[in-house]
Amino acid sequence: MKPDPDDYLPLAPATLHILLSLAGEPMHGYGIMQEVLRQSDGRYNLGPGTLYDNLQRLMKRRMVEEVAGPAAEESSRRRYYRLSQLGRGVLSQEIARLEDVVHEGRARLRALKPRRA
Amino acid sequence: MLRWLYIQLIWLHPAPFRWRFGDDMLDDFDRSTLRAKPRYFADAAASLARQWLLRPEFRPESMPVAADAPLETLGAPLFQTFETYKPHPAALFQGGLLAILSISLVVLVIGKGGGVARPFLIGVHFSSPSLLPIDRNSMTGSDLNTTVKLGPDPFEAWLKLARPYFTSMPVLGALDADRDLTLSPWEIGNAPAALRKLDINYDGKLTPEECGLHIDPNSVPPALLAQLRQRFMSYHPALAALDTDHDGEISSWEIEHAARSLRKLDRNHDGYLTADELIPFEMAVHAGLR
Repeated sequence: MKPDPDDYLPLAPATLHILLSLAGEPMHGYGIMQEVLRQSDGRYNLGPGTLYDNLQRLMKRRMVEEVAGPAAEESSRRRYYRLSQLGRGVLSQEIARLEDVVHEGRARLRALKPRRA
Repeated sequence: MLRWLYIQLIWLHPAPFRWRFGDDMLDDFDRSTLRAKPRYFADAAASLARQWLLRPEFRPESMPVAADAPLETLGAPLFQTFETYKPHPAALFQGGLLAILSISLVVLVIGKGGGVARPFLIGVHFSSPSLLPIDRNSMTGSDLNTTVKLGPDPFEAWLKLARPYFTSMPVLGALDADRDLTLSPWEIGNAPAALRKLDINYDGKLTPEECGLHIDPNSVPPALLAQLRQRFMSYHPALAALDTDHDGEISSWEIEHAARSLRKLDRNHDGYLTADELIPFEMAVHAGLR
């Protein structure tokens, strides 16, 4: 049976950042760490242990898959990863969920604003 | 030293995780700045606890026993277990912690010379002066006039020669992960991964220049250059062992089978490659070690 992306929601921050990093081209572990650092303006510094633990689980759930590296780095021992179709679906659903949260949050905050008499 | 400690932390991870991500973790550690290293250690320690306590699904299960398996297969005895019970990982962790604390307590008591606890310690020998009476009058000064002279430690001389040699040879520098001037069985087994790091141009093989030959190709005629490159590869035992087809380069196949090639240098079959097995014969003769 095809897994439903909704079953994996909500995502943990580390998982979300990793999936976001892989939304573009395939990357190796160190590249993902750098990309997460860039995405979060240096606030979220992912360590290798956390990263590979998440990658291990994401691969087990078939959200991420290992691919061959770029031709220039074929001989490199580094492993490259990319988002699978399921991973892309989960990421889309999570972003839609976060959009709803943001929308709801803004509406609530607007309601809390003191009004002029 | 820091790198060695990090390798040990990786080594403590469950084997499937270590096999799959160990190289990448070490590579990431190598790329990190000195300032970031403490964070990497904390992260690896957290990962270690997480892998053992929270990720049992990724660890290899013990060999399953089929319920309908025959009691004997081709005459070989078959051992079966009736329960599939395994202790919870958290219980194992707590048990280990308790054992460490208990041992520390015993060591502390012994160290402080606790007189109360001593009778309860198994194997403690209480010296009794009445057992072996010593007549000190029988000892005269003339009994102590023997001089023992110790010669220089021959292994120290090897190490003195090995230090600059390992530094000048990138291949040995890469293989000797813990910088103890000896290639341990683990370092030999890890040789393919270590050697791939030296492949600067990513062509899959190691040229003499990537192995440490420093020569300006424009300063010597091509024929002589080829000869020098060949001689460089055959002069150093580690390179000669790795270059199994003696073509003057270490191919990707030779890198893949590096561990097996290196083990051929282990003359005393102790599993380790020491300085006397890695330093060129001529160099050792010149230093007066052979």
